[in-house]
Formats: sequence, structure tokens, C-alpha cells
Amino acid sequence: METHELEIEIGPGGVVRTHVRGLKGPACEQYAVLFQRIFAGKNSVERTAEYYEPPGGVTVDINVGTGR
Amino acid sequence: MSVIITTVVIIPEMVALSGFLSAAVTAAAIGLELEIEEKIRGDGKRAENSVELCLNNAHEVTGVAAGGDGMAFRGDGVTLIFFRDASGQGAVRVTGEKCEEELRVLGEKFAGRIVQQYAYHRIVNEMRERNMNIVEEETAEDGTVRLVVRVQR
Repeated sequence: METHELEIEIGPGGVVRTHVRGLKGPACEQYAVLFQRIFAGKNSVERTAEYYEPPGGVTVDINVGTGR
Repeated sequence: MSVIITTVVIIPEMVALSGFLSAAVTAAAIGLELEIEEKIRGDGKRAENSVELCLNNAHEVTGVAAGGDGMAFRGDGVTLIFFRDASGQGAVRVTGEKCEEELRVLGEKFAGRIVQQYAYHRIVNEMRERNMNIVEEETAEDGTVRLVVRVQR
């Protein structure tokens, strides 16, 4: 079983900064979709070196859904 | 880290005074050590020595009067009212015996904390719905809330 973490910082002005750790490749961009859906806000995504490493066979389904 | 996502939180009109937002407003007021006054009704009037700010990005409300239900809080010689403005957006009115600039600073702080608490409640709810475990939670001195969520797949 694979584990990854989200470190989420919610600033006092309402800006949310999320670090996705331990998940490689495009799978982690599902979280960008999720946060955009939750807040209907503007996202910016910064890819780090780990993003470009081979994903290692991990499939992530976080069910971003269509929501409220 | 493989990705860093920065999201600017927008509170949709439809959630003004919904359960999530009411909880966020109350939590923001408690965090700023304000006393809960009472549920109020907007009277459509603007008082002297008052400032009104739109909740999203805390810019100034122009050309609209307070309407509908609101929530009022008191502290440090001012009254802060969260209400839904005529356009349906969440807004904050600050009234008190202070200059406009001081009232504006207080209003911006309150509005910012409301948006933060709304974001916090939404995130915690979404993580729980997806069976994601929040394993750490702390609040920094500057008011930033930090959560660590662990996901096993």
C-alpha cells in the first residue's frame, strides 16, 4: 500500500496552499482539480522535480466528483 | 514535494449564511475574541462611522445596502455585522467610535478570517467524505492553519 500526504496551509486571508508529497507524475494534479471544484477559485500549480519522476505504478482515485 | 497548489478561495453567493458559512463566521468571531451579540435583521441603513466590505477579497461594497438576515458581534468598542448584501454576496459592516481606517482594518481582518474558516470547514468536510485522515493540525502565530492529510491507496 502506497502512502502520500497533503500539507495544507490555510492563510488568514483565504489563500490555500497545498503541498502534495510522495505522489509522482500527473496523478497529483487530481488534487488541483479537487480544490478548484471545492472553492470555485483560481488555482496555480507549481510542479517540482518529483513530479517528473516515473509514477511507480500508483493509481489515485480521489473521486473529485461534480460536487455541490 | 511533487506539486504545490495555490488556491484563492471564493465564497459563492449561494452559500451566504448557509451552514458552512455560519459556522465559519462564528469561528472567525471567536478567534478574534468577539462577543456574539444576536441574530439581527438588516435595516437597509448605513450608520455614521461605519465601513462595509465585500467578503470576497474584502473590497469595499458600493451602492448597496444591507438586507436580509445577519449575524452581529461586538468587541473592542466596535460592532461587526456579517450580512448578505443586495447583490447576494457575503459582506461585513463595521460600526464604532473609531476612524474609518481603523474600522476598515478590523473589517478586513474579520472578512479574511471568515474566508479562512469557510475554507477550513470545507476542506475538513471534503477530506472526511473521502476517508482521508487528518493526522496533524496546528495554528501558527500569524493565524495560518496547517493541516497534514495522509492518504493510503
